[in-house]
Amino acid sequence: MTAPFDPSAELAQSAFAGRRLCAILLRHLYVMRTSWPRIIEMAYWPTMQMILWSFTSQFFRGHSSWVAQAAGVLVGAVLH
Amino acid sequence: MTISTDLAISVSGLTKHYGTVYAVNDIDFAVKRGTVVGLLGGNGAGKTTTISMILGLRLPTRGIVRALGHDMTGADRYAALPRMNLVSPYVNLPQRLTVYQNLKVYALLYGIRGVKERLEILIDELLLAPFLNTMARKLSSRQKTRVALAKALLNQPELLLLDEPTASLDPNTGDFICGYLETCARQSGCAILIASHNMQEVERLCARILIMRGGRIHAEGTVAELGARFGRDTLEEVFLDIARAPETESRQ
Repeated sequence: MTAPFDPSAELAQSAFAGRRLCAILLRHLYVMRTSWPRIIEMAYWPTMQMILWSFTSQFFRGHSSWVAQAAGVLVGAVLH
Repeated sequence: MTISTDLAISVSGLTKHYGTVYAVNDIDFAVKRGTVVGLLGGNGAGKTTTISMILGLRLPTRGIVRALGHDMTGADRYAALPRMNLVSPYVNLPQRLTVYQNLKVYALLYGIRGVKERLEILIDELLLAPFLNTMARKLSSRQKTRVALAKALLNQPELLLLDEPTASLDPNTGDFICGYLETCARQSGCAILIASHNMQEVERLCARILIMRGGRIHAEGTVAELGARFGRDTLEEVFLDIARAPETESRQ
């Protein structure tokens, strides 16, 4: 038998879940605040990926058909 | 099956083996709400495994383990877990967070209301103020124990499991922790199960004592009962008698 729907219990449950989510975010924020390599790393790797992909897709644009270029455009769009 | 509501822990036929090695072998015991029970035993006696199964962290090979009326081997454990807590030297707090940050994160994780007020009470009672902004990794053993205890009391547990809470502490700090736990048990009425090697601490805090050896409970009772049964004056002598008895000796 399923339990009857209790809106107040549902609300309390979602508030609890929200607090737990907040705890996890706070934990990561505290760690990042005291560690500048982590903050730099967060920007460094995506930047590297974008530069690398830009060069790669630029190379393909000049050396392949429009079908091959389409994949590059799509991934480029995702990255941006 | 009727489930007694005045029991904080109820264990029956609990067994955990890894291949041919029995870490816990067919143990039965119960802890009433509002009581303090000691779990004594040498290294490898099965204390930590028993505590892990009470928390539902390890599944028993067979047997029943209930905490606060809930079966701890299935999803039902999530109804009991918010009402219990653990202190163990084997569990570290996040090392890159300060004491205050750790307590705040755990308070939110436990979903408690009035985080600031609750933290203020615990900081005051456990004298955490001098090292509140110290990173967890830089704490001394005695500071770590006090912080771990504060973390465990955040959710005002009905059942507190303490795995060697005063291990590697100097007598002064050990005495402070014991005194605090005594007050805590008396005022809050929470049930406490203490696994320890420290006889004085167990003698002082526990109404009843279980002595484990080789995964079994070899003796149980009050300090006076155990002393009378083994013809010894102190708990330490009883413990040594059990620890040094031949392996084949039957359970008492």
